[in-house]
Amino acid sequence: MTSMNEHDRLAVMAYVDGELPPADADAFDARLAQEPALADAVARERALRARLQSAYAPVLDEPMPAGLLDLLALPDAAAKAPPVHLVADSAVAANEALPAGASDAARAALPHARRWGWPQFGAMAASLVLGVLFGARLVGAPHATGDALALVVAPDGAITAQGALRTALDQDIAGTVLDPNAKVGVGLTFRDHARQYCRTFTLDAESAGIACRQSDGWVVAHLEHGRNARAGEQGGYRTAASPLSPTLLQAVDAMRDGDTLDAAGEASAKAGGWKP
Amino acid sequence: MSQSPLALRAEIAALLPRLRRFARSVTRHREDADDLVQIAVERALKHLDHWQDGTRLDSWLFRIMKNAWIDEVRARGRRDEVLAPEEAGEHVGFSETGSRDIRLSIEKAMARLPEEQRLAVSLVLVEGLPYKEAAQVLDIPIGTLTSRLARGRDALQAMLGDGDITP
Repeated sequence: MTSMNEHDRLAVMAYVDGELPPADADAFDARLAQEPALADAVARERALRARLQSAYAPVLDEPMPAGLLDLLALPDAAAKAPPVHLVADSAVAANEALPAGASDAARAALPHARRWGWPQFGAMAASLVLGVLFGARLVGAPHATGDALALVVAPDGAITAQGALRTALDQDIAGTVLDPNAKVGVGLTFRDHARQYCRTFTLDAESAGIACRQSDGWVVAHLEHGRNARAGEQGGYRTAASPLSPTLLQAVDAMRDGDTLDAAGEASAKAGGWKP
Repeated sequence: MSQSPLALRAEIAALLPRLRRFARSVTRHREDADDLVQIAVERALKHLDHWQDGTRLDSWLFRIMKNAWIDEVRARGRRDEVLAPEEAGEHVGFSETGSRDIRLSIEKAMARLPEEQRLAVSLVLVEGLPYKEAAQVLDIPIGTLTSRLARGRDALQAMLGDGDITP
């Protein structure tokens, strides 16, 4: 290896790992230009890091074992109906459907692993689909019906809105309830520090979140469920006038840059395709 | 801000691919790795209230995995530790781009590292955790972490060949 002293050895490591304070990193950059041995050590460490990364990266794209998904999909014992169903992306597309109150046995009989059928997700090798489902039917392929809501968890961990939730985020102007029976609602709209449009949403009486419009869709930045998502026992918060939960409001305040938009502002943002 | 089970479940689901990658680099076996992730997720779901808001969920899960794996290694004793390096590499993931030989060699090198060095290397070099987070995951001071990292790296470089610096 090298005859480098321990101090330099640790400095090279910290430099490559991005752990040096900015001033130290600048000083180290200056030394690198003058000390070939140091530069060699940095190159070697970077190469090792790159090799390790590429060696294990394929694991991220492997199909997810159904057992792991089932763990997370299992409803709480106390829950009357499963509020969530995870769909693995490893088999052929199938539009499985089960009543929301279906027995565990019936759900267990479903093929666990299914390939996500939407064209835009065809390239995602290991995406998970987290469907938040309402009404009478639990639908495996949310594009099949208009009222199926879905949150899609991509391999990189990004959660995006699909199905009826995406439609609502794209279309609804706060204060107007397009469909009185809709389970999904959009509340406040604001711009974040990156000037992206973000909107609060509700999925049912108990789930709420914030999604921000990025080039490829609405990316969920905040998600709550259960009592925390409720502002109080009375009243929902489908419209802008309804109370939002304190934690959701805190998240909005932390994210927003400027005031929330009024109806005219939302209409104008919508007309512009929610582009920043 | 407190989070509730559904939101946490969604976030854990989002972390699954990374948990599997960490497990693969630590256990060296596909089956062991998925068992480990399974055990960790089960423990996490059982103890969701132990997770502190404001701390990193991935670090918390890595820590649960580390503890579960150390338990498993102790339970197995030395028998499998002797066997593991021989088999390591046969269970590496494939990529369309190939270059399997390189990955095999680095996997084998990783498999030969002492447990504590492999954990440090996995967390920092594969998972990209900051030193502070990695040290917390491993319940060790940062100085101990950097020392394990340095020894692990030196050992890997030595096994992989000093002259070969192509990724």
